[in-house]
Amino acid sequence: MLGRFLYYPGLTAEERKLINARPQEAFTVFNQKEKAESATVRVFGRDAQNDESDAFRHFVWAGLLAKELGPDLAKQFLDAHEGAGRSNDPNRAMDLANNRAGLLAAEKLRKEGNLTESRLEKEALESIKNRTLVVLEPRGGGNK
Amino acid sequence: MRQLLTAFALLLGFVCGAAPMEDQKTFLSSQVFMAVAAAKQRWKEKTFDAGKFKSGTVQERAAMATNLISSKKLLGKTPEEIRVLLGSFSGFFWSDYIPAYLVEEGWTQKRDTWQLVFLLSDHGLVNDVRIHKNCCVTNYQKGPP
Repeated sequence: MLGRFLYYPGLTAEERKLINARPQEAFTVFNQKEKAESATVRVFGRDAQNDESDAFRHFVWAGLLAKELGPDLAKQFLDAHEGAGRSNDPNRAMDLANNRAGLLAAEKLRKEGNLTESRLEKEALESIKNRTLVVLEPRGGGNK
Repeated sequence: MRQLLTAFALLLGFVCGAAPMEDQKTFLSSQVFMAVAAAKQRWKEKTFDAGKFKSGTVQERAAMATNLISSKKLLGKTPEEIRVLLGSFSGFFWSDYIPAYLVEEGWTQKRDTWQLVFLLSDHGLVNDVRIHKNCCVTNYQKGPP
């Protein structure tokens, strides 16, 4: 079943370890990844890197993981995805910052009793509009 | 005897709740790729030059895509070597680590978006380069939530 989601060469070493240790949760992780990517192409008409669609994808994925797995395990999977080998990479810093924003938004929405995929998408778009998410190479879109 | 064993295996799979064939598809087999001939027709063909690709526009990159693929020059490279040669990845394919470059920005005209993707072997080296459909018009037209 995971073969539908996994493209093994795209996994970091940390992700492979975590998937082996927690296969059931890994299935949830990749299911939510697919949801976040679908939302990204629906809203932006693309799934790119370093731009608004990238920020949106990371924010929504992090929020969905927090919803399904709780914030701690979600962070473990998100950090494993970013890997350990790119410490000075601005792209990685952008991803980590937007993941964190997604986790925080999920906690806020959970407290309000409003943690849904559609609210996470709205929060992500609002945060992009307010420039509270990190976007290295703006390309626009997502405001229609 | 072999037929009996096959039937038994199928029955066992059914009883144990094995995933249906649809679920056994791999990620790659579920993706849409453009044939090189179609890409040549769409974007024509210019000789691939890494420096020109790195500093080029999306249209200039698209024109070099088919030549890059048929030259096989970048097979065996690591993603980091690709990044140094061709610049930061602009597209996205499965994860942030798979080199991908947009070659048609369809969202600006509500058309399909295409990207050049450098597929990796299990050892993390480029073993194939393909033109992948990054996103589709039909999804985009649904609009944001």
